[in-house]
Amino acid sequence: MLENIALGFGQLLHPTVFIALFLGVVVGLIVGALPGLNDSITMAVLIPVTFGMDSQIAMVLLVGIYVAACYGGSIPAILLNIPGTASSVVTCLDGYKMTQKGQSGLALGISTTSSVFGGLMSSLVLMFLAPFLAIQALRFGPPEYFSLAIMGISTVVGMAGKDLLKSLIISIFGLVISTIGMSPQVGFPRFTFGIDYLYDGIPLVPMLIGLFGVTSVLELADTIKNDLLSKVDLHIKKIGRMLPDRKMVKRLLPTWITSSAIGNVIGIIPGAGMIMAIYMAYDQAKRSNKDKEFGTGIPEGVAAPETANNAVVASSMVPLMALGVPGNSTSALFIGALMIQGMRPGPSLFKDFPEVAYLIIAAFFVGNILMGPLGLALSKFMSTSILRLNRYLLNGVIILLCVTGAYSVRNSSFDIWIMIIFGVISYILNKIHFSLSPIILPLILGPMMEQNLQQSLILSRGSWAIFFTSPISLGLLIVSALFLLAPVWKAINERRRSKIA
Amino acid sequence: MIVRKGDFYFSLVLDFICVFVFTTSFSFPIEAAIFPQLSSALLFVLSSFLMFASFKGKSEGTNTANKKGFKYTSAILLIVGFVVYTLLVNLLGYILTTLALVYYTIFVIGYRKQKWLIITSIVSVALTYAIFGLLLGVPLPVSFITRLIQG
Amino acid sequence: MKKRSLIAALVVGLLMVSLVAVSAQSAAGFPKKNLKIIVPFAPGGAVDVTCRFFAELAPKYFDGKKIIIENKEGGGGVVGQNAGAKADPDGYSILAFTSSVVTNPMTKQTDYTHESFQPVIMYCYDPEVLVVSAKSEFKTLDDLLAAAKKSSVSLCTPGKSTSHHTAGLILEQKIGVKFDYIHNNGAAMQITQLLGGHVQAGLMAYGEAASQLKDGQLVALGVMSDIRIADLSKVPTFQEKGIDILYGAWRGLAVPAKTPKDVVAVLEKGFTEITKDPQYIEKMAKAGYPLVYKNTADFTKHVIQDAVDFKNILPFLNQ
Repeated sequence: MLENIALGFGQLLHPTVFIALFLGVVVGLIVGALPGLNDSITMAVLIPVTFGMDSQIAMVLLVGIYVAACYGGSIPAILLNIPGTASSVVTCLDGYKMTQKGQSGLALGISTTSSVFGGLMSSLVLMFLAPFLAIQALRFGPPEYFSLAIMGISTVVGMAGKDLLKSLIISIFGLVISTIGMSPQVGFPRFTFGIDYLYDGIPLVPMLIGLFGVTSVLELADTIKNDLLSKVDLHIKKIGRMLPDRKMVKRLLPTWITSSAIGNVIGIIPGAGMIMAIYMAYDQAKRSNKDKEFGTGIPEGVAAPETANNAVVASSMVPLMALGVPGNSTSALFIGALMIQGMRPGPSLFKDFPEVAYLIIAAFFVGNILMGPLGLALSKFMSTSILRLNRYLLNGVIILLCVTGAYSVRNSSFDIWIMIIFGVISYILNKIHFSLSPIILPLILGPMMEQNLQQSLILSRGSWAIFFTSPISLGLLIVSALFLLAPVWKAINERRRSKIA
Repeated sequence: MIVRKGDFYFSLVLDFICVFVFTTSFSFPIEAAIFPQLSSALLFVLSSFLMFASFKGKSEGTNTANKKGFKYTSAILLIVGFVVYTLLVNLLGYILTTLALVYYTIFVIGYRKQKWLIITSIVSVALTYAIFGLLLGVPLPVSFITRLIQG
Repeated sequence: MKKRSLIAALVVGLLMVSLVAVSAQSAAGFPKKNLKIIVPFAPGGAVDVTCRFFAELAPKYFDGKKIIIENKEGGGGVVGQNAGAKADPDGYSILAFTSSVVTNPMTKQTDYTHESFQPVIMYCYDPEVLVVSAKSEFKTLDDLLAAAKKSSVSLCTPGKSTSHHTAGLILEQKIGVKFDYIHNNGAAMQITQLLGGHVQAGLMAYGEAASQLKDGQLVALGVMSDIRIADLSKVPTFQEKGIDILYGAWRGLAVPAKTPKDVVAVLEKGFTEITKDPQYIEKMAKAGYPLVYKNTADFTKHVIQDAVDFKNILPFLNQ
């Protein structure tokens, strides 16, 4: 075991292999930071290019990209309130608020250290626990996935600020519009109005770009038009200290540990996904820090999702390496990359090509370490250049990135329409004190819920008891019920108390 | 008396959507209908709660946006610009249309220094085109003239 | 006024030029510009990767012209297939043509059918296999079929009305077994369900499960091809067991139906030569895609036969 791991690390000493990993991390950081581009698009573009490469070089290049992209996404999330990748939507909540407070440096520093922490944790899991954990993850069948999706959605309640009803309404609305597109199981097109671009539902990335980018530009236009712009908003030049000091590290440590645990667990379960992990981690951080008002620029609010999304990265390779089953759509691309090299993921990879198998594992570890300094350098560069840019000109550039990013996802201008529609809806809803952001997670989890609900009912021949006879499913449902009922209970108690008083 | 107009109208819109989703779902195969009907029914109940609540309770207060005389002109102009852009981009090609969009956006927001306006538009579009179009090989839209020339 | 008529004249002129340009296109000197393969699936998948193998070698066989891969995913292939059907029938837009072009129009609302296309060549045929977990109670094909005759067996597919689902339906029709179908989006979830013991059996293309079959985590009980698969020499074919069923996922290339015959011939020749290139053969073998070639005439026949088979099974699809 240990000698094999040494074999993996040993190869990284080879200069070309190391440079490939280095380049991968750099590319990952950049595509992550560009809205609309992400790791899976980039890797898909690069996989054919890796044909001609040595298998070791090809693999570490892809690992580098995968490791760095979701962290890169946090940079524009923090500086501009636009998530660079879907996995940094939650980072916007507190990250951008920190920038507005003049703490963009600290926010970026926390994002970097948290990402490295989460990434290293999951690399260790991949290195030492992969076979064992992959078998555990197989316990998840249709009823368990259904209950997991319920639990994911129940975190929305925890995320909600003062207005629980509004958040609930928006998230159920998310479930309703998640039914747009081909229905799972029977493949019937619903609410597509004859548009085949809607067959796979509302595309996530263009929607996010609209929700964050377009809305923010429209709101800035309003602010300027009505002379509401304060001098502070116009010139957030202050970056501040970047690396968190010892006191901050001590304060963030519990958040890092719980969030990386959440990220690892979710990452190992095939198909559960990064977005669920970041919401759960944020929710958990919020619950365990009741004294702090999340959403106002709290360091834990950046640390939790950024630790969790990087903890998903290497752990999503666990089922792939141990069983040959991809953990998510990005790790699925490694199958293609391995196959064109004449290899297949799974136990036989360790037997037939141990040098490649252990190199991949070692590259996740080293890639995460490389990401730290490289990320800080890029953050520093981007924060100084972006924050120095004139706000008027900057918003022109934001719109440019929005339309280009939305188009690039599927090479179609239909996705620009989706971006505009969601941007405008979110702008209007903000005006009447609604936030559209609770829509994101239910929109992703809706199809998963529906698919597994129907699969479960087929397996149980129509009996709903299947969700309660599986211990995992039952446990998840109980936890979700507690999550959902806690704020209701709190509200009732408070009302009673105020009546007595 | 409706105290919170925004809540009221939004819940009205949601209720309409729910009714539409619920009734349309009857034409689907039963497996495809369960989930939309369940979720739209739940949404209907919740948004009706909101509607009732909008009749009583406190108003949302005098938010800046609710003030009389709030000017929405630039936001509306921007939205119109985005729509026109999307209609034209496949016809006139990425470079030309996007250049116009960036210039228009900055101008509408309220910036007037022509020199910087033009420089920012050209440089940013050129950079994005280089990264997305050339480096990453995204087939960005080309104008109908280029298409004609290329056959 | 003058200005307006000038613009009108210009527009008319441009239209004329474009008309001439279109009508002048014939096989003489084809291809004059780069070709494009529309892949209706996500990059990195089997169809995408195999098409990129073509793209790599194209300049050698198409007069120095390149092939550009354009991924248009969505709706189980519908978005890209629609784009392929609507493309100019000049031979420059080629569709990565798979079994789903036959099944999609019959099960979803599409503006095209398989008849909207002229198949060019088939380059890959992945036979259907019936797999179970290594821990399964079923050790042989007979075990499973006997159980499925008594009471229904749960069977996972990569999607409803895919060729894999169809294979299951044909089996039900032919020998009176009964399956409870669990449809997924792709083979990855299928494998998870099988390994975790949540579903009893699965139908998929051999290539999708090759690594788990090799590792012994999954076991193939039967193959729907006429001869046994080399890597699965112990696994019987369905025909050996007296069940006449040949099924599999095919991959090929096609152009819009109205493309001139001589242009199709040029494409057929070029792609046929690529499939004979040792570099191409090596890449396909390395990646584990079974290279099975059919020329335009044979491939067209194959597609038509598939459509007939699928049409016969269609009434049972929604039961």
